[in-house]
Amino acid sequence: MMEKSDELVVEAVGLTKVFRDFWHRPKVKALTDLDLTVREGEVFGLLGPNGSGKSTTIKLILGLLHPTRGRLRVLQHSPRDVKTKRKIGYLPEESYLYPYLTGQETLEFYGKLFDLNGRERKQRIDQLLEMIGLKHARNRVVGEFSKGMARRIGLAQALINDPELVILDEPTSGLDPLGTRQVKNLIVDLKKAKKTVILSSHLLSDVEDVCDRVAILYGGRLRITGSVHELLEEQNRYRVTLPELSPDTLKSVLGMLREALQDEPDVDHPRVSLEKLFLEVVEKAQTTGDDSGVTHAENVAEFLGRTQEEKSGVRLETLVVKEPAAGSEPSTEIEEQTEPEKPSDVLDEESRKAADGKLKDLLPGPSDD
Amino acid sequence: MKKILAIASISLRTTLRSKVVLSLVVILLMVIIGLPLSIKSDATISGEVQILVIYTLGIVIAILSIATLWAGCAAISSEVAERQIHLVVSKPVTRFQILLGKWVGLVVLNAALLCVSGVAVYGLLRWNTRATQLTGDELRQLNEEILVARTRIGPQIPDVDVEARKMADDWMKAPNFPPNATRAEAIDEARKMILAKAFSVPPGATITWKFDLPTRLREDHPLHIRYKFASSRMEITTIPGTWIVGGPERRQTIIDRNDTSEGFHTIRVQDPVASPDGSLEISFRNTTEERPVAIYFPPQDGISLFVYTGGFEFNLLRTLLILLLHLSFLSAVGVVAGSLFSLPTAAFTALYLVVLLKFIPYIESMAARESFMSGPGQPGGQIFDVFLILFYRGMQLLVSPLKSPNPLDSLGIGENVPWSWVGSVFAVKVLLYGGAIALIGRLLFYRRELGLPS
Repeated sequence: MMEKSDELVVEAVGLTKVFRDFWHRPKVKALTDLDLTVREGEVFGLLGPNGSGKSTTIKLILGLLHPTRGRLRVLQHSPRDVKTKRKIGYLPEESYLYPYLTGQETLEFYGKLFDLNGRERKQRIDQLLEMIGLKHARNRVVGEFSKGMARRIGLAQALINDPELVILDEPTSGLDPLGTRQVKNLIVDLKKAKKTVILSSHLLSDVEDVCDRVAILYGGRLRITGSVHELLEEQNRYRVTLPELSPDTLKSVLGMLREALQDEPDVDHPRVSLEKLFLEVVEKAQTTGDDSGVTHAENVAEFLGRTQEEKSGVRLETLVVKEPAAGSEPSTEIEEQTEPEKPSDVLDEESRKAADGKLKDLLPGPSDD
Repeated sequence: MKKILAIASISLRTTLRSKVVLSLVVILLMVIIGLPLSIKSDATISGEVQILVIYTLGIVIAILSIATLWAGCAAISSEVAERQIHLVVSKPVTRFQILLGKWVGLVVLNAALLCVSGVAVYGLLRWNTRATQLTGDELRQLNEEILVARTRIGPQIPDVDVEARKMADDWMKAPNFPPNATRAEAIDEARKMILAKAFSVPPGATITWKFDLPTRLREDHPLHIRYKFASSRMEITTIPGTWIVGGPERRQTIIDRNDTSEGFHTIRVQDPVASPDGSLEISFRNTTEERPVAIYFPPQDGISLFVYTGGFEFNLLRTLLILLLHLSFLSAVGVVAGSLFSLPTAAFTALYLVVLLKFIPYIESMAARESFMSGPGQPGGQIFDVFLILFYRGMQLLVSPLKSPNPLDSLGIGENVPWSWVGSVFAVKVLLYGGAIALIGRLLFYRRELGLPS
């Protein structure tokens, strides 16, 4: 189906970038005939190993590089158009901040570059600092920040203009699992607010969790692109998740499956991810009043958590990503601001061991083969 | 404008917090306090003031010029190297706004540093020349000749063009006239010769100059005749002479002097009587009858009249403004160079341009030449000549307007630095050249890819 060009936030046709040496001789072909579209309101993942052309693509979108060949439109304009940049937020791979400025001054500076008036700037800075959990460190110079704290300020500056297109290059690099989760929540929240997000990351699980579509680059060429759901779903296999069963019931279910499949089904206990376990431990610790360098922050800045239609009056909400069942798409839901949800599928150590013992009794072990 | 000021303020804060400014202020204050202690003056009050004003402020400007060029070059090139520019360029800011912002930041910084230096020099000057330290004569000289702003008036120069042309034509008819010389060169030489003759005073002779006095002459302040001369006999260093101020039909002031042929001399004239046309006649009679010596006053600066115009403080302010404009020009050179090249390359490029400015007199003398290589038995010399002549004349056209006298030389002798001087430096160095550099920088910086892998 042809896509309407006004719905395309990024449209690249035959985009090629060749780096040249001092004498203008071709040195490296960083990007070759890239055809790429990013649609309005989607979270688009740009994947690829080092040197695959991800950063070159992002720099072309930002006007930091000029295409050697091909056509590139960003928000229906040239990427070098100043008006286009008004609607873009960019978090680079490294934070690239001024080390002698405080967090507050850094955001003030970028706010001024967007012509935000003093009152609006102050409001947004307050909300952003609250959101990234650095309100207490607003007067500390960025040069003294840890990598994670600098990353958070970098993220805040990328959002200060309430952008329509957010480009995040390795947004979770340098962040602890808590920060990573917050960034992922934020991306989901941005999507909810109808913003377009381009995400470049080496952490495939992050991309899988939040992206609608992905493109995989290798050697400067686009190798595959499509929706995460379509690309990852195995149409000819099923997974069934059951509640805890008595040994007899489980034995009979497995017997039925063996008979029907004429093969041994894969059976194991669902495992909670290490990320989820970590978050649970940290959340517990936070209830005791202890804090790390970054304060716990889940609230999304008010000016960001709104679609254009909602901007007339909105309550502060907390977005929680519901842990997706394996193989399914991540889903989101909005809840009133309450205690963070505790994962129901986290098992304590003892019950896990007991369950593991039961399974061993029922399943044929390697020695049985 | 908000964006330009935001960029300027970031540059300022970064420089301030990186301790660069603090170290610069310390160095400047050390120079201002230390230099007058380490240089021995000629024990006159004017010598002492000149050390403080001309040498000390001169070195302050030299330090600030180097610092400005370096800071200008680093302003953008370091952000490109550290990639902070990626974030700035990805915001709705034009490249020209980035250039202007960095330039404004440097100009404000220079203004602050010049202000600190100016206040320090002025304070030291007032402290060193406080009334209790000086004799009555020194105090009078200080207040009338040094810590003032006086307009320099040159004598009426006779129109010698017709005579010079006639003389040059006669020379050209002579068989020994050099074949390579042009008529213009001959006229120029003839003009110099006629003027030299007009400003020479043989033994027993009298020379009279006419000076046009300003219409608003402050009668409560004396005039000063400032002169220097050369004598025809080197071994005679002290020359007697009589100065007559005022025309023959007016009240005349007659002063007998014995002056050396080294350096400048000053004669104070209270209540001179001008002619009805507003001019003042000043004559000098060569009284070296016993040991006859011819005396020559250089037409350029051999004799001048100094007339009170205003106070020292505003003169210092105007001088500092001219110096600030010069630093602003250097800032533009540095910022643009830094926007196009990496720091070392930018610094060398900017330095090359500044060195070029120091060689303006040399370039002008080369540009005035008609021949470099050609001559009998030198094949190909003419092509080389054409190339060099075009090169030097092109360079002259490019850099000559930037040549300007040092206002510190005027400030040090109590000469007025007029607002018109400030205006002309602003027009040439900031608007014309700074503007041209900014436009070239804008064009090239816009084309530069800032996201290239390093």
